[in-house]
Amino acid sequence: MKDVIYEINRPMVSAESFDDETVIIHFDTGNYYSLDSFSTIIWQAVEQRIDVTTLPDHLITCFKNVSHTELQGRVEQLITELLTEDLIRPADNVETGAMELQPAEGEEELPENAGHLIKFDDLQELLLLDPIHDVDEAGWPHTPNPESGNQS
Amino acid sequence: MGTKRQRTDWSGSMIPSAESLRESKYSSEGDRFFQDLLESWDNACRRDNGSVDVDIHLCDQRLRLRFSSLRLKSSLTRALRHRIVPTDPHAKSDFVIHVFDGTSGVPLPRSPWLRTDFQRRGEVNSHFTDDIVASYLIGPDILNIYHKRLKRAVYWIRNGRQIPFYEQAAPFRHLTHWLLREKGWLLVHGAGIGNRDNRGLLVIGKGGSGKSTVSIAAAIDGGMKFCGDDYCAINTSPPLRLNSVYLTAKLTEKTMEMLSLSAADAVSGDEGKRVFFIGEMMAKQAAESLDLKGFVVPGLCPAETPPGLRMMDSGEVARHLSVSSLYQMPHAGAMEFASLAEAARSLPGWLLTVPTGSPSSAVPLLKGILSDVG
Repeated sequence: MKDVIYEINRPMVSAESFDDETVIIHFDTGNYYSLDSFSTIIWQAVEQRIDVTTLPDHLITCFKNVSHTELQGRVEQLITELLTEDLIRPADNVETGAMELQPAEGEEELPENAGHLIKFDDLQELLLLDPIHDVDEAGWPHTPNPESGNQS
Repeated sequence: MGTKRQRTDWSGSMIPSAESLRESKYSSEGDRFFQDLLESWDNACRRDNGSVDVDIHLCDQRLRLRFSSLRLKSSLTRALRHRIVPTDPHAKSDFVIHVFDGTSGVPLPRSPWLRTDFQRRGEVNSHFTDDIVASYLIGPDILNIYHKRLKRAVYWIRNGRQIPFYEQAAPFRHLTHWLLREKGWLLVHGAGIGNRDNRGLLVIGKGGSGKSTVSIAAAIDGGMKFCGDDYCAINTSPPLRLNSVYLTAKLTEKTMEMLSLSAADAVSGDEGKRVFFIGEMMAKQAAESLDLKGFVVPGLCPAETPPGLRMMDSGEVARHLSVSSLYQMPHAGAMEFASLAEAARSLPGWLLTVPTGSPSSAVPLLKGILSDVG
């Protein structure tokens, strides 16, 4: 990873965490996402501008039967996915946040598929697909077909 | 210094003049444009012998709708008929919406926005002022613009003679969203149903998931209360309430056939859908407000599948509740997402298996939920 401190791509991106899931919405692309509880720890670290290379040191105390190297790989994989989906970006201000991650509640098995970003793109049609359009002489967008438009 | 002339509309009511706005400390390009819009609306009214005013009561707010023509009023108030209250010119309105269209012969003022300011979701980026929030629906060409300080809005549609069926089913929804959120209410994408004890459920899910089918089956075959099939309002602080905004239902021909509804009662739409004005058809079952007790996500399944229920995690509920609502509401963002997420955390949610061809068979499960919840 070239950069180690990231930030949420606000205001285009917003997230809310629940018991076992974090839901992320990208208001510009029409995609939305789900993170499992393992990935939520990484997401919260990004929110707090924590150096993500330090995360495996924390995660190793939370999970058993997993190596530091594997944890590092899963963190890097998720960060790459978050960057690819434009959900996070390298932080402009590299001031590192204070480590306020939730303490481990005892070791637990790390699920085999933990650490992935689940993507949903079934609602993209609710957004206008092309913001580029013709304008009339007074500067107002205008399309010749009055029946088209966004609708539920 | 001479006396400043008060600008009045066709009826003699004062409207803020361009001059007064220019000289006020709030003067902005947005104020001037909004004033020009109000003058265009006024000119449209004068061409058609004055405005037609309708007062509606919605979420404890009094909204005055001021139409430049009777035709616009007829098309854009059928879905709101249950919310209409006697018009009182002396009553103070919380918000005023001025409505006119391109067929009035009065052109819109020149757009103050650049082409690139018109964004996805219909959002228009008003970089020149914080007072104005706007959207523009490309296709039907509908401008919604709300001046937050003046508590006034303008709704303009290019062709008021051909208002799309979905717009007639849920008119002014962008403006309603902006007005209501100032008062602690959110317009959400969902259908509202309830029982005789005023306990309600919000049926949520993306378009085509079966919201209308299930909610109309609950009303027609199950005798349940109905609060709208596509958009309802919920408050953002507990105890949560569900308010009806539009009493309409968009149904396919197949659903109409299953529920023995006549197309003669509906407005034609596209893709075989028709809009039914439920407030006119089933006034007794129309519910203005319900105590919200939970969320239901319908899942249409093969006909041989028995109806069933599965409880959902709050995150799953939030995905179904939030995303389609937020994507349809311009200028909705983190604040609205946080409110909807809190609603999902505070109330239970169920996935309802609905057999295709017999949606009414799932209605007893809905009644069961409402009799079980406190």
